[in-house]
Amino acid sequence: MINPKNLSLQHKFSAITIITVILSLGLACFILAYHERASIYKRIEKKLATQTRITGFNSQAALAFGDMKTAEENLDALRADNHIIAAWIYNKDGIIFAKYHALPFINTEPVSVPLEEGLTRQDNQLSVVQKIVLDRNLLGTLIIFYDLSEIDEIMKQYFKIVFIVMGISSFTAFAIASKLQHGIMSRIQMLANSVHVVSTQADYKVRVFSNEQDELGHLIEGFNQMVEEIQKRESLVTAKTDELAQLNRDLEQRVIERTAELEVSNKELEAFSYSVAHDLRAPLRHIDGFVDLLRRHIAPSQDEKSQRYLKTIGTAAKDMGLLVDHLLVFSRMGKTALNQINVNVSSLIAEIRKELEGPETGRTIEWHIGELPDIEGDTSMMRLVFVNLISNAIKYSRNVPIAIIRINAREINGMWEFSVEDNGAGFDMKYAGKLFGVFQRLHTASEFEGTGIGLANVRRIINRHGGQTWAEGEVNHGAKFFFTLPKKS
Amino acid sequence: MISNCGNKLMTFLFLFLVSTGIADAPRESQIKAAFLYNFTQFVSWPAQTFSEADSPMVIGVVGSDPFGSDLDDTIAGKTVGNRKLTVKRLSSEDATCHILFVATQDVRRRDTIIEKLHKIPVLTVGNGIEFAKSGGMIGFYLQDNRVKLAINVMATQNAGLNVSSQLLRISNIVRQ
Repeated sequence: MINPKNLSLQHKFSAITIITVILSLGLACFILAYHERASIYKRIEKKLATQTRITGFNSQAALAFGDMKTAEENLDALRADNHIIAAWIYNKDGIIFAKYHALPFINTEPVSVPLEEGLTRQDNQLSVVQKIVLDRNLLGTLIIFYDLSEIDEIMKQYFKIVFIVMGISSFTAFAIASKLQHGIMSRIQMLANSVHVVSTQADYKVRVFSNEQDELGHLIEGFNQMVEEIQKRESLVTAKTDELAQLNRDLEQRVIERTAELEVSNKELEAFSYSVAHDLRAPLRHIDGFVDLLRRHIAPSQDEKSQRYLKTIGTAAKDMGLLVDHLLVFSRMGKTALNQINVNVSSLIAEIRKELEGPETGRTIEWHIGELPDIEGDTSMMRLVFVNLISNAIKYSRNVPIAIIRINAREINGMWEFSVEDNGAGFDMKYAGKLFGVFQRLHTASEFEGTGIGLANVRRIINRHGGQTWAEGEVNHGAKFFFTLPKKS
Repeated sequence: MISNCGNKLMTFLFLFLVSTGIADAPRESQIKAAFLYNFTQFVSWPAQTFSEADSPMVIGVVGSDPFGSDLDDTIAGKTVGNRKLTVKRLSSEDATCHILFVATQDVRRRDTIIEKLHKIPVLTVGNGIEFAKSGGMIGFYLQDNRVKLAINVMATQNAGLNVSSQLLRISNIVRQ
């Protein structure tokens, strides 16, 4: 079932045309038919009245002289009109005097002597009663029955013609309307197509042409103006967008330039600090060497104070030397090329444990080492990472009776995540961000010795291997350090 | 339907009564009297036969009157236009009558009367086709137990009487 609301305009127009034609023609024909029917009926009435008068008049003598034969002959003349189905003449006493039946089998006997003159219509039968009077004397009564079904026949014929006319008219109207609609429909079609192009392809260059200044013409004009306006806005927006994109590119360029500048100055700074550190080693060795010589030289004097001073100077010089060494290592970590090979982390840790545990006799350390994977990386650098993390764990847990150190690894998002955990001094999480900076220390040298470079080194190495570092901790409840490394490709 | 059937039954009974003649059948003299009156309707007389506009129309009966009171009863209260009707019983022909019923059995006397009136606008009526054939104008005769008319058109024309074509149609037209 087609919803008439979804029909195309052309079909709707055609339907309207045809319906209009059929309705108006139908109404006109109906009225005409009704009128025709009434006038046919009037005509029949008149004809029949006349016929009845004539027949009645002609039957005067027959009635007067009781000549039934002539009376019936008179009635028989009615046969000329085949719609007259029966006629009777009564004498003045109301007794049938003469009869006529168009067909022998029609036997519609009159029910009683009709008294009233005039026409009576019953269904499809019209009857006329006519008194036969001669010089004021009633001779008899004539009644004629007329079959009106001819009217229906005529009406049937009429409606046949009406239907044919309606069909032809509808077709003609349809044809003419289609022809006339073409001018309108083609423009509507063009407009619809253009709207489709605008809405689906966002092409605002389309225009519809119309040289007729009717409502549709105004609509098309309005559409054209609208699209033009959109086109203007569109170009404005495009220009603005381009401008913004240019600004964006400029900014990015500037960021890149600044970053490059920063890198250059960073490198310069690093080179400077490296050369400073490097150049400081020789004078420091001199200081250390000569302080040692001086101590030995003045030893016999047993000047206790001088000895103490010299010892402090020596220690400070050694610390400074260590610091300088670490700085140099840190610098190298940023510069030396990575030599990536397969590293067996488990054996690496076992080695480091042996190395670091040696000097810590007398302490109880519980080791919990999980299953550790092989990784790809620079062996010496990875060794440094684990040395730093494990030595920190040993160092910061020395004040608890039983130190517990856990080393684990797990896979997460295509990376290995390693963790080294202890139950030692821990740290306040609000300083977590500072942990991995150079010379950043959360404890004084008197609490826990150190240079503040170890974790900075760890971060630098892990970053160079494409991983990340972070830490979790709580004061006096231990710390947990994490780093990630890409899985072997 | 029921009333229709009832009506049909009534009609049937009515027709049955008519056709079996149980209703009072009129006497022959009554019929003839009525016919004499009817002639006034279908025959026109020249204007000069009436002295006044409302002069009566006269029906004369010559010979032995066969009607008794039937003729008088028939025309009682009847008029032809403005004219009253009167009946005259005569011993001989009378030119002032408009209709003369010749009741004599005597053929010679009958012919005499006919002969005397044949140029005068008096409608002569008698019994039998012979009456018309002998120069009378209208003769009554019986056929199938009904009273029929024989008209001698020539005679009426000679007398200056105009007989309606309707009357001629129902009549047997005879010549001398």
